[in-house]
Amino acid sequence: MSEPGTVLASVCLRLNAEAARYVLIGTRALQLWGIVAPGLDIQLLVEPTPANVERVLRGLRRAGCRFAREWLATEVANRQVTVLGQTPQVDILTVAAGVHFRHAVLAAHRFVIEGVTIPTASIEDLITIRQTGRRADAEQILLLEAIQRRTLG
Amino acid sequence: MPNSAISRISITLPPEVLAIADQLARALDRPRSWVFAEAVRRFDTTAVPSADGLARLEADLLLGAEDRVRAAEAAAGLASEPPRLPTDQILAFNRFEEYLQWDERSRGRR
Repeated sequence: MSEPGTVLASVCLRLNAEAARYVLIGTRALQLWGIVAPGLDIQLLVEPTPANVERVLRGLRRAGCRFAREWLATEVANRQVTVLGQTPQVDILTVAAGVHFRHAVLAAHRFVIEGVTIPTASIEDLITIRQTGRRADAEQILLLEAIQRRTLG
Repeated sequence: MPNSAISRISITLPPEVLAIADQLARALDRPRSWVFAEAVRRFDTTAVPSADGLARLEADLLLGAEDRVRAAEAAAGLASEPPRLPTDQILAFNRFEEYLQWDERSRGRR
């Protein structure tokens, strides 16, 4: 496969090659579902086992995230959130607002861009994660609900 | 809740309702106040996106997922948003709420 043109597909290509178990959340997931929210940062909800986190870190390292090599998989697996690097910043989450990988993966939608499959959190899970009380998140929840109504209707 | 625009209130509840709220809070790993805020949000059926937001959404939905990602990455590259600090970082958070607070501070906005 040729090198993808987008940062998102490039990173997910490497994660998939490592058989990493993850679900895309955050702004990048909103982009896939229908909202062109500017942002390069990538948020991944991952299966919180050291073996899987090792696969995630290996994939990120191969995607050019040099910080991924400096962090122990066990430590990442034991934290709720680990933030790596910048441009793109990659946030690895083991739980997001009470949403765990084991539940999110069951409802996840698989988008395909540039030939790369990207497991993406359901709209319902994205809404739950966006319950932060912040104004920007509240507006995005309303937009997600509008997309949800279209999808259902 | 990581929001400077919050109000602190005192309310009276039947103990069984409070027990349910606490059970939900534990199951969802969120504060008790979040459970009540979320319940009110779901009860409010009058909230709608802004007209601008809806118009943008209509335009965004005309694009495919791949085109949306390309457009968003291009927009991010052109954005004048202040960079996060520090530029090189590995940060760990024990709780999601702490991460949200850091995210808010590091972006210097909202």
